Amino acid sequence: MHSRYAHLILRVSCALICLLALAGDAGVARAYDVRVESDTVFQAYEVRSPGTSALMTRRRLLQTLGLSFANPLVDEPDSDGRMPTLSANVRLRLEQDFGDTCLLARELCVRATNERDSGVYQPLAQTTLVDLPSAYVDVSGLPLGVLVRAGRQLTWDTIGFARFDGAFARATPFAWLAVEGLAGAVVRSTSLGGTSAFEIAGVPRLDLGNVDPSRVPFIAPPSTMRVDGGALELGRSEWVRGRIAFREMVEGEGVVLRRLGTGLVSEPLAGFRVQLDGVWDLLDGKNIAAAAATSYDLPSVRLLARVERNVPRFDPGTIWAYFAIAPISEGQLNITVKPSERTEIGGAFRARYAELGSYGNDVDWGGEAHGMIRVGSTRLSAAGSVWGGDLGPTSSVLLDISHPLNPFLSFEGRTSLWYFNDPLRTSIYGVSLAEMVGVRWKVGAATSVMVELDHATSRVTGHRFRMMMSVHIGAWR
Amino acid sequence: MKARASAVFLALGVALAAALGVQTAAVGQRRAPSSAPRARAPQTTSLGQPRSAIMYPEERIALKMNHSLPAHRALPCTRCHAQAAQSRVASDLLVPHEDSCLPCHAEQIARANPSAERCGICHDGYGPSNSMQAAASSFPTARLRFSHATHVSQGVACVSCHVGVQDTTIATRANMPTMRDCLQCHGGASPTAPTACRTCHLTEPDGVIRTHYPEGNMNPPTWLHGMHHDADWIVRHRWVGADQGSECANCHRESECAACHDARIRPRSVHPNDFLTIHPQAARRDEPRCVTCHTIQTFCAECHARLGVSTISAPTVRATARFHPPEAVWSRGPVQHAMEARRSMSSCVSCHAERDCVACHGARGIGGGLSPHPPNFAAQCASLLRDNPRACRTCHGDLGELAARCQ
Repeated sequence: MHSRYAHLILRVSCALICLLALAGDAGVARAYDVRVESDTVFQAYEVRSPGTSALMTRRRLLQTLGLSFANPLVDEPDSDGRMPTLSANVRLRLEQDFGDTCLLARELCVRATNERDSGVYQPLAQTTLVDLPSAYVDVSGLPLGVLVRAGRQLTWDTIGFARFDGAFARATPFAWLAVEGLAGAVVRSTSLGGTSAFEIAGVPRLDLGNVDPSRVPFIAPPSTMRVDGGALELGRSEWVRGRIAFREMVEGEGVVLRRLGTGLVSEPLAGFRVQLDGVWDLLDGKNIAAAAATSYDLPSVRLLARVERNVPRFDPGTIWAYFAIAPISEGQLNITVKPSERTEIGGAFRARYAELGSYGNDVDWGGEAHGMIRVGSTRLSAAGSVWGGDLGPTSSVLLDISHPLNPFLSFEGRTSLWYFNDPLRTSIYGVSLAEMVGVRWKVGAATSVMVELDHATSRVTGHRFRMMMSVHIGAWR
Repeated sequence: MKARASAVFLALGVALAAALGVQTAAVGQRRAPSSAPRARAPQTTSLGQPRSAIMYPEERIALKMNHSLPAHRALPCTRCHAQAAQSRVASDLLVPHEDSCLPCHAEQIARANPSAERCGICHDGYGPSNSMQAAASSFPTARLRFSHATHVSQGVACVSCHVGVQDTTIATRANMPTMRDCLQCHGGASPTAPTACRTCHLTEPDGVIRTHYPEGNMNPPTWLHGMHHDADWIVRHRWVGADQGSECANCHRESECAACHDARIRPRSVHPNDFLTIHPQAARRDEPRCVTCHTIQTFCAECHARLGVSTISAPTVRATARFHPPEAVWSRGPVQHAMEARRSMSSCVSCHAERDCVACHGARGIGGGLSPHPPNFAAQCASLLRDNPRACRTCHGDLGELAARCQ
């Protein structure tokens, strides 16, 4: 059922995009602009997991087709530079997996789509996925700085991301005041043309079609989840600008999310910034995220200090939400220096602390450093990190180079060395060496091509190859 | 299979090398020596503020016009830049025409007897070495929306924006205002000066600021809301985006967020090279960050299931080797799995289904002494049960009995 709808969406959307593209090419006088955007990415890679005999040889094609349309509703902007504009945006995505999951020791490959064979069927591993990441119409630049948007869209703030089908409105009557509100249905893997991206951590949901649910008891049935929320922003950041936001998500059996997010930003001096954020889960009244940061940007130096605390949260409709989970606190001190336009160096010290209750506490610390220099048109950069503590040591060194061979073609290379030692799985330790070479070809103002070849080798997984090719086309007309 | 892979990589490598060679040769042939005069404009003002080569593309000035000469200083700006006060668009060329120099420089401008001494007063490099030709100047249009007329009508003096121009030997883009200069009024201090980005910046038809130019991509200055996109930006962007997401939307479309946050293609800037090998350690360490892109129960679980390391794997692919430490350590004795669950529940969810936990922790399972709930949970259980009873039912079964206990 889900697949049938997906293909219907695909066909209708393709037809719509073609019709609009043809309309844009009709040669008649028009007041609107159309943007066509296409991303085609092909990847081939192998994944092997330590401790198993499975080898995934994946060949994935990801094709995203986007069409935007903009039509100014007036001829001239108003005195504030606002110009009421009607615009629409549709993005359609197809992901096709041509690969197999095979068992190394036996001549057996899992056929993910074979629902009749309970021995090999893997419900989450569809080979074809069609979705509609966005499809909305909006009117912006209205008096009082009003923006109204309807359709499938994404929203984000301190509370997090949400993709939903519905309406969003924001008004900014003054630079010091903004109000916004949203309402709709959350896009889930079981929504029409939807995926699970941005769903709350919980249980997978699938329309199983003809599959006996008792064979896959870990899959939950489709369910509609509504979302609504609002936010108020007040003040000016030269003094203090505050934002308070509320969001609620409710599905058939109950509340999935009810959170309050707050943020304060102050920039009393040019380049000096203080930020305080907090998120409260109103279901149990607990603070689940808090952060305080300050940064000072001088023309060639930036200093930054930040502390934050997070408590991972899960869908309260799942049992995961009711286990004791450790709050994680992290601190960071960072400095970046730009001695010139062609050089940059920086470093950070980070420390992490997790409260494990009666099991004690995790303390981890790490340092990171990076540097960049441009020699002629060549860009060289290096980065390194060291982490140690209760979660085990890791360290890395990365070297990057990019060099334009001509205005259209540039070469890129990267090599890295990682050391890792997982204290939980004593067999997983070692050194991984990886190299990548690639080229970017700017075919024209609207088109670019990229090819990358990756190789990595380690004691744990042996050799691993990855090849990626992408073509991007994007142009207004 | 390995041989086939090697052959494919070899073929790709050869094709790549050929493409590089062809492109390099082709462009080498197209290149021609430039005879245009070298740009003389300094890149910074006397205050050391750099001028953006994107906003103010590099100019080529083959003229001499010493603004600091007393005779020139005595003139009002509009004496030479006559059209400036009426100009409504940035593309108007407001460099004075030769006619405006004529009243004072008639003798030098007379073309009957050109010489390096006379013409060279204004035309830089004029002389026999240039075949007695005046080199051309070029003044590319600033990538801005700007109306001189509006500013003049608001009483803004020329030198308010073109700071120090009266002291320069030649006016260049270094005498153009920086964004910081503009924001002295357009940052909200003046009730009549609009504050929207598109007031000054060029936009695409849908109102999003145009950020890609031949000279490079626009990057917010270091002092603007902490938004400068430097090496550390990949870590910091969420802090700005969370509180000031509408600022991001001035330049970026939703699809740019989704390009990474939809987790379809691994961006090298986020997960460089062999991240796959160390991702379990990174997942435990950076747990809150992983879920901004990866949905645990689908993205993580799908891959773990395919590889056979998950309890939801298809039966024939499920790993026979034990993924966790020995049972004596993991499930008995020090109960390491409980500590690990508290440390990183997301890691558990990335492989396990609810039934795996319910088997032991469920009230109808082994039961007593294995409550996973945090301390003082009982005080809140009534409201949690009211808000969403699904999870309660999964373990406790009969909600009536639970409701009676959870008052």
